[in-house]
Amino acid sequence: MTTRRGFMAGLLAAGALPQATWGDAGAPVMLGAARDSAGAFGLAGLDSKGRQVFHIPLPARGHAAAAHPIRPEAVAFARRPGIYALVIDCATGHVAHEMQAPAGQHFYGHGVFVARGDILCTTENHIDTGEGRIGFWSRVEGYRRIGEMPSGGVGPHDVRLLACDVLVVANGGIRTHPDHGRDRLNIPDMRPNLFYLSLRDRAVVERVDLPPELHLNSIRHLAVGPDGQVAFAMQWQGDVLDPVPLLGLHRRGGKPVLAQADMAEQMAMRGYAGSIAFDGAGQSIGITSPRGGRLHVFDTKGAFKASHKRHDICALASGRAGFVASDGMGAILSVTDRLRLLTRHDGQAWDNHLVRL
Amino acid sequence: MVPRALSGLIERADSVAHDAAQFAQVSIAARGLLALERLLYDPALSGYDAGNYSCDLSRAISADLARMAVAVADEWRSEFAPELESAGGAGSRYLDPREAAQAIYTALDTGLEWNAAQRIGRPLGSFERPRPGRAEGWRSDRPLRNVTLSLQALRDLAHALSDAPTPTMDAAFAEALDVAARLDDPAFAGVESPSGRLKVEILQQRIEAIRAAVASEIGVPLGLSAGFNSSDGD
Repeated sequence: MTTRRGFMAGLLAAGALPQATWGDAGAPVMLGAARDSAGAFGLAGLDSKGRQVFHIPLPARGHAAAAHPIRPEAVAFARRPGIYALVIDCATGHVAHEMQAPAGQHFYGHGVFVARGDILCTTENHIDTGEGRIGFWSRVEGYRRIGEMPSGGVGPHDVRLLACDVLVVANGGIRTHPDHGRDRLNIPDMRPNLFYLSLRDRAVVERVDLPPELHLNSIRHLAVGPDGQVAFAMQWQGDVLDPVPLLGLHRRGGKPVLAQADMAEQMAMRGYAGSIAFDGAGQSIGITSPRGGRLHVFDTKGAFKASHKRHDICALASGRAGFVASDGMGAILSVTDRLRLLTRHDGQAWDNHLVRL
Repeated sequence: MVPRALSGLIERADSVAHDAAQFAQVSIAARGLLALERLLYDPALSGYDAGNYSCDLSRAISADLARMAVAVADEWRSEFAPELESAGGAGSRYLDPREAAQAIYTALDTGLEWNAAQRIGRPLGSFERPRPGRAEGWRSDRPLRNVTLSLQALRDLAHALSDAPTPTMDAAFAEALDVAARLDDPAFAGVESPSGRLKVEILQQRIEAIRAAVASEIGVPLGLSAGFNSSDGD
């Protein structure tokens, strides 16, 4: 760990170099990763019609990408338990940096830029103890490692930034070890939580636990609404036939609201939500289940509004109106009261996540 | 879930059982084959005489199942089949014929996977903790029969999807059905003993072998595969 002073210095350092913007990378509005028909992986920038404005090859299947708020720079994480992440210059298509997880730790697949893009935060696992960590990297110092904090739980997966320099972390609760690939080592004892961390004073702000009977519900992915409401998507590790809620909503200081559809629709989700997003108006939250071929839409109070059916649908982002979704058959879809095809990229199997810029 | 929903109706002698239209709105936990099985085979719920409320409830569930079966068959003929055949046309949910084929392929692969992972996998549980009470329809001795009937239907579906010869797949289906026919354990109750468990595991492995053959003899030639996201999440 670095000193508090060093950490703050890194946090406040301003980027001094004259640099490009996303406009130099074709002005994409979102990023998505895909596998092509030859089995090769890549990262694509997409415009609002779902058309590709750039495509950059990746060496392996990634999980998510963290997009810089201004610069055309994306950090692509290897799938967990990966030890590397690639910083990609989306204007040139080159790998600008290769980030290596600290010895004894690995990445979990998500990260987020904070401090106007000067600092990258990454979810990590301290392998020996199984303790989750949030790693800090100084972009302006060439992605130098400048510190870390406990994530407040086991298996931190997604991480997002709220206003007031507060991070919200989805501690999925599942312990893995690189020697055992993606095997889940602690299912009976898992205790997922939602954890809020202040970047200013590096303190725990709030911790939200699920009711005991839902301790097998791994909190995995996050979306933040326009007024700071946090929506979290879960993946049930119990019996696939249990119709458990897969969406939670939380406001700081309040109790979490768990949301579900009617029982038949809920069972059709197969206990799995792969991606989550607010719609463009911030009035609805969507979760996808590629296993159930469904997108479920709820309002911000947790009432079920609609189910859209599409085979292998997974990645989801907010659209100008409604949502944008993608699937494993190459489709980029617009979602309002129904699904509508924006563009289809033949042979491109779109991966878990679409990252909104 | 199912017993609680049924007990609630029975304790109230809920009049919903006497109104087919209303009954269609009852929670699915109190409808369907699993609910009916409880009323016919669960000693806690099946000790009733002709004409009492539970008897009426059984009839209501049966009539509701028949209504749904007819509705599904009608919709299949009038809506879904034409939609599959007109894939790519205006307003179709399938953008082209390949997406329609993908939907059938997914049903095929998911059906095989469901037999291996759920119908057989749930009662297998773990070696330390087998769960015979999780077998589908164990009270009515249905578990093995349900797997057999499903495999036969999936074999027909596979042949409907592909015109090409599928010798490996045909042999894999025949082998799995043969193992099922010779398995003298209709409710998978044997999963609690090591030797009984092994026999059920062999059937599970034979079904996985069908999946592999389906992938190579149908999936590869037609350019279809199990879902990219549905088969490997994070």
